[in-house]
Amino acid sequence: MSLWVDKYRPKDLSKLDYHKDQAENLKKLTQRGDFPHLLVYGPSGAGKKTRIMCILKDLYGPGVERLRMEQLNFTTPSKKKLEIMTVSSNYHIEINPSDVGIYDRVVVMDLIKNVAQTQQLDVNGQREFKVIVLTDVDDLSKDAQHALRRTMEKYIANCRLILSANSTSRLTPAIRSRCLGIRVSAPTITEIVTILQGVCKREGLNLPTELAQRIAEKSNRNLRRAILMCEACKVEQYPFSANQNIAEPDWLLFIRAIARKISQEQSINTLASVRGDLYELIIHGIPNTIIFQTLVSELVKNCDITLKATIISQAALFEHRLQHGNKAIFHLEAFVAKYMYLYKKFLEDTIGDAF
Amino acid sequence: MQRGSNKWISFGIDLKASKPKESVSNGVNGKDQQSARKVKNKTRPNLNLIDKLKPVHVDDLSVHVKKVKEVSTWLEQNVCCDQTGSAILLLTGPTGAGKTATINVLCKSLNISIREWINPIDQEIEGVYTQAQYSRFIEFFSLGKYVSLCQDSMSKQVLLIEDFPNFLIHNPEQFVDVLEKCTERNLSVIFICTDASNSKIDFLQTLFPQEVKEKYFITNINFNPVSATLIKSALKRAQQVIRTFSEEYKSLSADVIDAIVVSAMGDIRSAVNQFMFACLRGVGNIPLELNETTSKKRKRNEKSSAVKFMQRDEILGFFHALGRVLNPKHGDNALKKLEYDFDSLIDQFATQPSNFNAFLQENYLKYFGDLNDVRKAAEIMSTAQSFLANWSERHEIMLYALWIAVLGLMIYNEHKVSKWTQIKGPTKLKQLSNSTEVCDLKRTDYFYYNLITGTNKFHTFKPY
Repeated sequence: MSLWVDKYRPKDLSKLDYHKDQAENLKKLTQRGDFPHLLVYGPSGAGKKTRIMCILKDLYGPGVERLRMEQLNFTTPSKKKLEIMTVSSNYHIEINPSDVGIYDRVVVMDLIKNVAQTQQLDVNGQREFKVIVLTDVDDLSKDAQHALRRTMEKYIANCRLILSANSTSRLTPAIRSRCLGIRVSAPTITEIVTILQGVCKREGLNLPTELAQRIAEKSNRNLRRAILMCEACKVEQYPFSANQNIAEPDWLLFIRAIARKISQEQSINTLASVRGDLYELIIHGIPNTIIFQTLVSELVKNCDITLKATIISQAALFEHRLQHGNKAIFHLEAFVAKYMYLYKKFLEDTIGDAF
Repeated sequence: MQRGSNKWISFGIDLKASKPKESVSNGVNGKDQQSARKVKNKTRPNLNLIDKLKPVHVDDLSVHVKKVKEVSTWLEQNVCCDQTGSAILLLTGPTGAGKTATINVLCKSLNISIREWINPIDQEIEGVYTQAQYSRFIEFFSLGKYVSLCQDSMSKQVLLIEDFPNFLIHNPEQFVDVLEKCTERNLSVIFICTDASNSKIDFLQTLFPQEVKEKYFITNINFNPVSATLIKSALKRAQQVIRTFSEEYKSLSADVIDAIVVSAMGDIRSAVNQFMFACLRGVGNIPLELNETTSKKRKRNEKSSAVKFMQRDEILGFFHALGRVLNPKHGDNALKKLEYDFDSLIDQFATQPSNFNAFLQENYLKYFGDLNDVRKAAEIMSTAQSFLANWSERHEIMLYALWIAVLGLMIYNEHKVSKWTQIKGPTKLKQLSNSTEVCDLKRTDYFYYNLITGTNKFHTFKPY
């Protein structure tokens, strides 16, 4: 059984549901048969991956859809063995180098060298280059980005890179300037509603517009999540009703619970237990930025407006450090401690004023 | 040049200082030198002081009587009696606690011969190195049953391993083979493990974990640092030995002996070495003024109750240091100043700032008693961590992180919680690798996958 997200993913540039102008341009790009390195960026669930696959299909034909999973092994100079999963076809290889943490540099360099040094044999007039798709490049370490920059230039003759990132802010200018940037913005609510209804129609289901609207709003303009939510709703209850329950992600509820805990009691014990919860989130792969952002927005909800400003400015400070640092827990904890302190002080002050 | 070598030799026990020309050593006349030394040794048989000072009788040992008793009981029960089955003894303790000396003396008195493993100096070309050493080590155990022909054939034999071969550092799991061999061949083996500050060479931890000790019935006897009184009595005995050679050695004043005892910090070997060094000073052609300055120095340092320039390094264990940082002691004066030697504290962990900070971060909460203090400490930890962000950064910058974290935690801990708490290691963040089946889903969307497929393939967070 495949998920609706996979099942109804557009496979062709001409079949994309939104950003049609951009699709048009991409089509022209591939028709030329050659293109520079690409940097596709935009929020999560906006359709970056879909567009990348469409471009590849346009270039190489349906052969790119025959995917295989492979585990590649790398050895660092310090003889540490690394394993990383890759998805590849005959024409491209997709890899997420940040899976190996600080050793991403080795993976980036070795992979590109390996791919680029094997010349494409001229099988019935194929392209003379292969494509390497790197996902989550904004999580790459500085070292890896520098390595990438050099290898990108060196092997341009027989390989092209397509980078996918959520934001360009963490990429070095050197990388940005070597790529053609393609911004994929999130679909609007109305676009999501139309797509959801289209999907349901093809499934032979009847989706009330109100429910579609609610799902679209809850999904935070994340199309992938919207479709998943819709499918989850279907599993839960069909036929749909307009005001049925839409399941929210468990981690969101989890963070909300953490926020509640923090607001209820400001003490060292709470801080210690919050740390445990944060560790759970981090270990299970929820991205640090998402944890931080959700936590801040949940915490700020129960704050007075004067307090809000201080907390947001503090959040900005620690989030900045988190972006640069390597151990998120330090900064998350520092922020929680700061919040607790400010919140407690505020409460004490207001109670003091009341008397 | 001449002077420099002169000094070195004067430190040596062989008293070659009297003939400084010999000390210029190079490969060519090495052999001549050796023979020269032999001749000299013959003419002056009393030169090897270190042998003279070695304990001969059980009473001479500077080890607590009960400890000696413990070891001798073990030897009697497991080696002297005709026992079946293997017997393994593990002696642990800091350097210079008298572990080896105890064994030597006891074995002599019980008429047990010792067969000791000494790491061979390998001639092999590197590459086959590990295997060779390993097989030699195993062979040593295979032959362990046979008593040497030179020995009295009636005497019992124990194997002594103090010099652990290098391959065990890298492959501690191979040690099990060795232990198997011991049990198989019913050998009596004594292992001597010195406490190590570095976890990598800490054989006690790597080779003798609890389950191994239990499985092979290893008796563990732990030696403590030698007490000051015992060192003092040992040095008194040494004084007596020296008096018989009064033309080479001068006897020392009680002040100097006291200083040596204090600065040895429970290390009898260091104490004896210092003692001999001090004795030698009075001898022969060493200038008299040098002698004076040393003695002066000693006296001066005695006020601060230690011989400074010969003091043993105080080795601060990792956890000890953590405890110091997390549990800072403020001075008694009104300023409540922290009285620590921060430089040396930081210096010890300069090689692993990131690890030390991770330990501190994991544990500091339990030692704080006030939310405001915790807030400051957490901010400091976060600041420190941002220095460690780029692991390839220059090392000096990483040191700042250490400084910031250590000083911050110590200063801000104003409402200290003083109770015993277990120190925990930093939480390992091994992220679960990407699942093979649903590669396209982000981790944030796994929940829906569970929901749609009705499985529990991925972890679900449970809000309470």
